[in-house]
Amino acid sequence: MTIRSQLITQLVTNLANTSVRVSTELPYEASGDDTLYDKNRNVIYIGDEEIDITELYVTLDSGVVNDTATTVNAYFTADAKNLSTDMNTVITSCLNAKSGVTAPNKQATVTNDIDSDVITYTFEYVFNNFA
Amino acid sequence: MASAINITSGNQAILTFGTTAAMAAPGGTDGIFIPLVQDVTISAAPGTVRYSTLDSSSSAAFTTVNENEVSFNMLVDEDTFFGNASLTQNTVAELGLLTTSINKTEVFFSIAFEGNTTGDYYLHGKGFIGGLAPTASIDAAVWLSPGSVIVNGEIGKLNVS
Repeated sequence: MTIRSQLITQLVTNLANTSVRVSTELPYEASGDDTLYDKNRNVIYIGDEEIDITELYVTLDSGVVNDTATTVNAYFTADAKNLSTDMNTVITSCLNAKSGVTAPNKQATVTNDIDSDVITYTFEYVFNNFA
Repeated sequence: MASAINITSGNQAILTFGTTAAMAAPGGTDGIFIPLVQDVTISAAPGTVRYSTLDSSSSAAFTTVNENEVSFNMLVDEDTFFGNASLTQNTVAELGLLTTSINKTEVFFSIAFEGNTTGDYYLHGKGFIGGLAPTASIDAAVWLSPGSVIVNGEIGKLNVS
């Protein structure tokens, strides 16, 4: 099961009974410059995995321990004029969804950006595995 | 023409232990080479005593005995550290570095400078394994440990035969 799949599974669980739904689609541009999360408010879209492998240890016998950092971004938009009353719960639930991924190091951050009456939440999840 | 010894191909600067000198030689039968070593330092320092005399403005010195040591840092490998019971031909491999150190067993070692091809230089000697101090932290992700061989006698040089 990929990290993205694990994250989606946990988001579905955490966001049950909230105002935000989870899509399994990638946040592609549906038409023109509008991404799916611009078009469909209160639906969180999870991007594909970005993977960065760095050598944590290199040994004299050519042994290597790699740090594999997998970054996944997720996005959703909401009405900035009339923010849902459960938005704090939604954001906390999204951040806590990192716990559903198997990795020793897990980080989750959220940023937001307001454009006209639309607020866009961008979550960045970073998972590190060592092998 | 001068030529530095490149150690990046993975078979140089290799530390091997055995219960006999032949076993501990690079590529020796039943010798245990220590995997995942990050760095190795060979210290062969002659002991010296300095003295001053009234008729000289600088001190003089004479040598005493050599104090030899091999030190290294490694990522802890399970079999190497704790032993592999099936490797009965070599007690260092069978018991592992930790137990060999605890038992204060004298072992033979070699350090392959250039690899294990015929004619390659290597250093050899015998001594006691010590200095093991495994440490772990979540940032390091793996167990790390220094180690050393307190050399009993001289460090010699030989060519792989």
